[in-house]
Amino acid sequence: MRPFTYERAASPAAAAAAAAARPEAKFIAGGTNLLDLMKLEIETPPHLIDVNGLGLDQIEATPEGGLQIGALVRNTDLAADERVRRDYGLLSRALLAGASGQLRNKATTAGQPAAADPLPLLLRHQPTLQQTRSRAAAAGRSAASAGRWP
Amino acid sequence: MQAAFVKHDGFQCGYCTPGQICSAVAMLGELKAGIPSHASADLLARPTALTPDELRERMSGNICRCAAYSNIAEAITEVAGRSA
Repeated sequence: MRPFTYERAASPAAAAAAAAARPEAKFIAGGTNLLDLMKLEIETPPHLIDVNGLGLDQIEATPEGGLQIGALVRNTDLAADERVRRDYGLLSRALLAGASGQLRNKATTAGQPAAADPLPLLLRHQPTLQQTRSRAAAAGRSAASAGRWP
Repeated sequence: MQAAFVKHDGFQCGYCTPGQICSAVAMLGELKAGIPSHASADLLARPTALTPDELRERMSGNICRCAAYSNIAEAITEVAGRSA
């Protein structure tokens, strides 16, 4: 086990200042990528800056008629938002097709695009959605039941 | 839910059981709140019935190495029918 230190940032400015003070630190939000990479020691940050308390978890209508999605909105909340389901169905569908409920409850909107570089190496070994659908079709099951439950 | 797991023999070794029960209770709450899943045909319809597809998709984050799935599904289905 590799020890690391941890702090909670109370504002975006404080988080930026903390990162400037410790360039080798990593931000942590949902942790669904970073913690896995730390367990495998692919990532070994000596310091974590928790950004969950920054208040960036709102989905707001914009004057132009769109939606502004906060960086810390959880996948579950984004997929379930009535406006996203009504006007951006593909986004809702894509979120619901990914991972498990437990991961979607923690994973954040900005966390995934910001995921660490080694992730593609791990994802290469995961079946794609298309492969999963093909296997499900071959097994005579619907894609919706293509998870681990028989 | 705990009693239903006992009644339907929804476990063998018991390792996954606490998580299965927590997820089952939470999943039924999400269903009741109208939150869709990957198995929902219509994103805007409020799913009211726990179909086998909905149950399996919503529980897919919990695996059972003993493969007690059919008994777990029976336990959850009974509780869902009672609380509907």
